[in-house]
Amino acid sequence: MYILGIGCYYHDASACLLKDGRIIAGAEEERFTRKKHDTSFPINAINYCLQEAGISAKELDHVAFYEKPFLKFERLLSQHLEMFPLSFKTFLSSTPSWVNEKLRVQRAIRKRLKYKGDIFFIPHHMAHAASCFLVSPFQKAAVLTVDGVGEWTTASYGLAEANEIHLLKELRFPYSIGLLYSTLTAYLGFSVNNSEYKVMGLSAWGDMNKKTNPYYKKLKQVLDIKEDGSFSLDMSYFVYHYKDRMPSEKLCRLLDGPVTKRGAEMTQRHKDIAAALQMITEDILKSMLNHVYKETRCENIVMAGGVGLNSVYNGKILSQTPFKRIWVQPAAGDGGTSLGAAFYAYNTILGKKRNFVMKDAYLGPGFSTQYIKRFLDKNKIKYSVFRNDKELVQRTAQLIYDNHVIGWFQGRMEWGPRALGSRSILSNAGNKEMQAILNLKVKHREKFRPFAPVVCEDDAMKYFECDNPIPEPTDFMLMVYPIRKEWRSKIPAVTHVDGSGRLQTIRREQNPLYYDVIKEFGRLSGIPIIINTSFNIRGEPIVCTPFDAYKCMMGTGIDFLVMDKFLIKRADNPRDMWDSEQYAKD
Amino acid sequence: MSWLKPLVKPFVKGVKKGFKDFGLGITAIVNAILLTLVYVIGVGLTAIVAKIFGKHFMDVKKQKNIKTYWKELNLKKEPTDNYYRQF
Repeated sequence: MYILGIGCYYHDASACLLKDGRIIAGAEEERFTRKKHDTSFPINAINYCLQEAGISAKELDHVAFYEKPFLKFERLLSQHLEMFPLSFKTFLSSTPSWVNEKLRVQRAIRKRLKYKGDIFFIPHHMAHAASCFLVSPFQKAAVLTVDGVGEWTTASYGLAEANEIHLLKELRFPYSIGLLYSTLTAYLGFSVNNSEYKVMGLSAWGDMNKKTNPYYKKLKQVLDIKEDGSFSLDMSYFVYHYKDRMPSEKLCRLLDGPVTKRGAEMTQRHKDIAAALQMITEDILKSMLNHVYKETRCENIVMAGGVGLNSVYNGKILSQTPFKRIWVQPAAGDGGTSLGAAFYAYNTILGKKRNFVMKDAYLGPGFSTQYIKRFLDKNKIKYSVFRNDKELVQRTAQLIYDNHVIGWFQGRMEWGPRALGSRSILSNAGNKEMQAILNLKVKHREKFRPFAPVVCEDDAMKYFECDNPIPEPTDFMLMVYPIRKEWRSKIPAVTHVDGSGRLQTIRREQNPLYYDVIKEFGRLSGIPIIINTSFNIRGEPIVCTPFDAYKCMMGTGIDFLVMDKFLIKRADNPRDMWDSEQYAKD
Repeated sequence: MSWLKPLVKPFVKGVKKGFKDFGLGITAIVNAILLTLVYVIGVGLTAIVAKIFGKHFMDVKKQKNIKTYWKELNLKKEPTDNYYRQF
C-alpha cells in the first residue's frame, strides 16, 4: 500500500511516501527548486518520491494533506472580521492566493498528479503529533505540539498509545509562542520562518539572568502566563493578526528602538532581547511540559511543531521535568507534516499496525557512482578516485586534521533542516580560527553564530554533559548540552560563548563512512569531534545534487569535495571558480 | 525581405510581452476593485453588525480572572468520512 503525504502553500512544502507503513522517500521542495522554504505545490519532491519507489501516481492508494484548508480560511476570515478595517491591505494581498490555489487543494492534487483516489485532510496539529509519535520508539507517550499556528491551534497536548493519538487541549490563535518568537525575530532584523534559530544562538550572548536582564521584565508584561503553561498575549503589542509584518510601534517603544535593519551589527541590547525571549520561551515550555506530565502521567514525551526545533530548551527538558524519555521529529516544523499526515492515514485512519521507527533522516535523493562520474567527466572536472573506503576515510580525516574545509556529499540527502553527514561541510573543531574562517569565507554568516559538533555516540558522554542515557534526538541535532569544562578550550570552534554545543551523535549503523571519518580524526588529533555544518551558502537550501555541491564548493572557501568515492580539489578547477558572497543573504 | 526577419521576431516578442503585461495590469486593477468591494460590503457590513451586537470572532481582549487559557480540543480518531472533508 502506497500513501503519499503532502504539505504546501504556507512554508516548507514537502512530500513523503510510505510503502506498507515504512518510509520510501521524503524531501522538501526547496531542495529541488533551490528556493529556500519554497511554499509551492511540491511537484518535484513528489516526483522524486514516486521515482524512488518506481511507481506512478496512479498506483498511490491514498494521499494525505497536512491541514484542513477551509478551517484555516475560516480563521483568516475571522481575523478580517475582528480587525476590520485595519486588515484591508492584507485582505487584498492574500485573498487571491486563497481563491486561486489554497482552497483548491483537491483540484491541484488530482490535476498535477493525474490521481483519482482518496485524499485525506488531516488537522495540522494532528499531523505534527503523528510526525513525532507514530515514528517514535514509544508505544505510549505524552504529546506536545507547539508552532506558529495551524488552522486555529497554536499549541496542543495529549496522550498517544499504539495507533491512536488523542489531543486533549489546545491554545488558540492569536496566542502563539511561535508567533511571539517570530515577531521578535523580525524585530531583531532577521527573516521570519527562516532565522528563528539564529535568535536562539544569539541569546547565549545576552544576559541570561532574569533578575538583571531588563528586557525579561519588559517582555513579561506582554504576556499573562499561567501555572499550567497556557498564556495570552497583549495584542496591542502585535500586528500579525491583521498585517503582514510583525512588530508593532508599541512593541518597538517597549524594546527601546525601532525594528533593526537587516544586516545590522548586533549590539548588547539586541543580545539581551534575544536572551529575554529565550528565557520566556523556556518558562512557558517548562510549565507546559510539567502540566502535560500531570495530565498524562506518562514518562515518555514526543514533540513537534516549529518550536520543537528550540534545541537549547530541548536539552533541558529531561532535567527540568518529570519526563524520562524524549523523542522529537527531526523535521519538527511544517516540513515534517507531510510525513505525519502519511503516517496518520496509514496507522490511525486505516488502522494498520505500526512497523517503523525513524532511526535516521536519510530519506532524500542519492546518486550512484556512475551518475557522479558521468557528471564529473561531462563537465571536465578534475578529480581523483579513492581506491577503497579505507583510503577515503583516512585521507578525509587527514585533510580535516590539516585544517582544510571539506564538502561531504555521501548517500541519501537528509530530511529536515539539519545536515547530518550526507550533505555536510566538515572541518577541524580544534582550530580556534575555524569558526571565523567558515563564517567569513565559506558560509558568509553573521559572526555571532556558532558551529555544531558531531561526535560518535560512544564518545559523547566524555565530552558533553548529556542526559544519561543519551536521548535519540541528539542523532538529529535537536539537543544543546554544555560541553564539559575541561574540553572547551580544546574544541573552541564548536564551543558557543556559554560553553554549550548543539551536538550530533552518530552510530556506525546509521552512517558507517561518516562514523569512521570521525573516529579516524580522533586517532589523529586525540579528540574525535569535528565541525558539521550544512552544505550550502547562506540563503540557499542545503545542496541536493552533485551539481549543487560542486557549484557551492567553487563559489566558496571549501577546499575539497568528497563526493562518493571521488575527491575534487577546488584549486584544480580554477575556470569554475566564482564568488558567492554577493548572493549570500536570507 | 530576408533582412526583415531578424527585426520581426524581437518586435513580435516585445508586442506579446506588452500585451501580457497589460493583461496582468488590468487583472491587478480589477482584482483590487472587486476585492475592495467584497471587503467593504461583505467583511465590513458583517463586522459592523457584529460589533453592534458585541460578537467577537477572535480573543484579542485581555481576560481577567481566568485560570487557564487551554481550551478543550478532544481531537482523536474520527469516522473516515470526516477526513475527506477540508473542514
